[in-house]
Amino acid sequence: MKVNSEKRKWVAGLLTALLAATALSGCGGGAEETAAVSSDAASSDILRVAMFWVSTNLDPADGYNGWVLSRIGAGETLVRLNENAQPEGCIAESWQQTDENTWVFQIREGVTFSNGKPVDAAACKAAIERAFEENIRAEEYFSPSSIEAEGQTLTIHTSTPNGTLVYNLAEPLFTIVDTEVDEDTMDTAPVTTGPYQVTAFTPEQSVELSRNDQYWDGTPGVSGVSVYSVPDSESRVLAMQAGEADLTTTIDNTSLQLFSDESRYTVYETITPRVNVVYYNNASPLLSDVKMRQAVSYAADKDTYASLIGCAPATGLYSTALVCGQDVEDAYPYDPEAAKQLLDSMGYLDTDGDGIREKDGENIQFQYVIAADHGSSDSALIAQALQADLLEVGLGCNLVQTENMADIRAAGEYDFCSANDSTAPTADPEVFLLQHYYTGGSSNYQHYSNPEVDSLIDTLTATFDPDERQQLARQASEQILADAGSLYVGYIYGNTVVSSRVQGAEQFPIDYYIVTKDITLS
Amino acid sequence: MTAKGLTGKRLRFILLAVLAGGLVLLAVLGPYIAPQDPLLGDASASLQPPSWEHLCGTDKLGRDVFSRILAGAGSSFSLTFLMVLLAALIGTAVGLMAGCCGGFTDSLLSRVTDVFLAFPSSVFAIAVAGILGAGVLNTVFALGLVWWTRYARLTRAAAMQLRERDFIWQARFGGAGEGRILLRYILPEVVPQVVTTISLDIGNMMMSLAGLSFLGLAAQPPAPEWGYMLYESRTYMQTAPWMMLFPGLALLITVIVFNLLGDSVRDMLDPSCR
Repeated sequence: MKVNSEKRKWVAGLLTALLAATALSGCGGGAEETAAVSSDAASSDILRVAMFWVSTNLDPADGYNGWVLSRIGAGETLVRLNENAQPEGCIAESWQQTDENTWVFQIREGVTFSNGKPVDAAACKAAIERAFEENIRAEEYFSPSSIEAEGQTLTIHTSTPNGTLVYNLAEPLFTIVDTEVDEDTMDTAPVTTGPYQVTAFTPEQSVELSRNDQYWDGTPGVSGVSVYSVPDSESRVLAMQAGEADLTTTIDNTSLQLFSDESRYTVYETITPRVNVVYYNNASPLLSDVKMRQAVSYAADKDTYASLIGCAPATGLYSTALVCGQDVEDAYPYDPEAAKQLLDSMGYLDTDGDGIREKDGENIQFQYVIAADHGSSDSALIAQALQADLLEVGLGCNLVQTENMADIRAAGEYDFCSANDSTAPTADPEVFLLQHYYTGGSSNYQHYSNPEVDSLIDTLTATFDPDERQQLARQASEQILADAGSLYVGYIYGNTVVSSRVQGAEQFPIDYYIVTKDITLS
Repeated sequence: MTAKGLTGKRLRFILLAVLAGGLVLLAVLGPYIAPQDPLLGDASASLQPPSWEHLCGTDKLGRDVFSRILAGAGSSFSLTFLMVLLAALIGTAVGLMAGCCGGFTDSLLSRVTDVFLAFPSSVFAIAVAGILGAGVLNTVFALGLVWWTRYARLTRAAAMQLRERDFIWQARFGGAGEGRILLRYILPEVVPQVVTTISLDIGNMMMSLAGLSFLGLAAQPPAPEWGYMLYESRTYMQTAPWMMLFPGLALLITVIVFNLLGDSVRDMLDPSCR
């Protein structure tokens, strides 16, 4: 009996030792393997990008998916917007306006799709016409009466004079894509002209790209790009720190200080046409009165909000990245006394002493809807700070977080809503006015309407002189501010963070370009 | 069981009860003893590390985190108690009905309970809160709706067992009606088990509430709620870790104290452990 139990102990001990040894060796092997994989990834020529958004498909004519295609270095347009937000030739080598409704583009010789097919005027015409068929947004950029293609010459006739056509053709909606592929290919691996071509795509997760050996403008800097979706800003920070990504963008301002070690990271920052804005619902019972909107605008300490979230304080509608946004005087400098006087003059007084003014015997309570744009917490910060400032002047405000902002805006069930919008998606000030402030504009969910602004926008559309256009945009924006149409909080800095392996990255004022041919890895 | 064991158990219970009582007291007094206004920000004091002026540092808007934790305790506690009581009331009522009536009523109520049990509880709560819209009261309702099933199961089983016991038959022979039997004889027997479950549930419930707040479904800004504070701190995990550390610690301590108290209550009340 005793021997038996002794034996058992031995066997058990042996087994344990064996198990431990196997476990340890297993661990060792695993560690070696991981090390091998990560060093492989680090030494290879693949650029890993942590992107804030990867779309559900890659068809450039569908929604804003063209933006994704452009950002990852696959899609290109006739014209692109350079580091000064000025148009320069891309697939089109040159262009000229022959009369007020006619533009002639010279398509560059030697540009081919990644499948080897040459890009001629007919291919460009097909791609642009497809954008008009598939996406209603196209109409907001220009309305072609006809497009003619002859060899390398593309002629666009517009139905009305359009001074911003060249800028607008840089919008990735008009990505030049091979239209002769089937729908499935268009959704998952569209054939484009950019420095990199899509080889694999997982909706909303990742895109794999390889170098386009046919590229017309020199050899692209890396052999491949691996893009994966990381919607949350803090997660992108962690991905960079863990060395899982070589490049990321749109990091919350507070977290940028984590990349101050210049031997490991480089941060590129530039002011963009993007703005942090609080849209007023101009049709809501409380805010339909211009005095009320002005009171709210005076009560907001915009400079403080801007410094909190790390953007440039807004004085007007357009960012200082645009000419029409420069040297604009603040129409509503922080002035709580002025706000109180306005509210008093409207007869909204706090009669029951609870600190909140009443309208028709009921406390004034605004409905303030917030959503996290680009995974950032900025909108929640602005909302809470504004809420506190409004309380100072006797206005109440409920904050509601939502995921489906579009539905709430469409239903008009709000007084204030947060947004992070580009005031010049194509570096030109017109489209933003048209979409957001023209009566019945496609994004005019704030129900702003002023015949004077409408006619200014009409004039702007038909004006070609660049200086005059900026002047007109400025006039329209001043009128909108006089009406206190919206509350502009700050102009947003765009940022790109890269690891020390990456050279040649750049932060463009227009956020269509992230992965470029100039990026190389060491 | 030795006398020593009993005193040990009792000592543990008293200790934990005092601790839990202290936490409740802090929660009740929290808004009054908070050193600073939990809602008032000061942009010049944004993201200050812990100091004597700000014991737990400040958040991005320059609000005092310590004051916010204290102020948030009140709502966290009262909502948790409200939810647990709601769940216990619904669950016990349904369970007793099912257990005592038997037959068709039992089948019907049991199947309804099964349907609710079939959903993973937090997913179900998210769905309910999502449909009703974000907001504290909706969340209380959502979690209450999800949580009652375990009380129903518990009381149904207990009631079915008790129904056949001698003293119930004696009561029945004595002329007591079903309603009287239910309230006078069965309910008191079930109460200790329900109380045990309630005390065990408080910690879980608090976590669930914080979880829903973290997802933006319960407390709305700028309310100082622990779960929402954790959500806010997420962005500053590395630049201002105190924003996350202290609300997390408050939640951890509270949940541990209430869970231990729950264990202790079970030890005290459960006859099988005696």
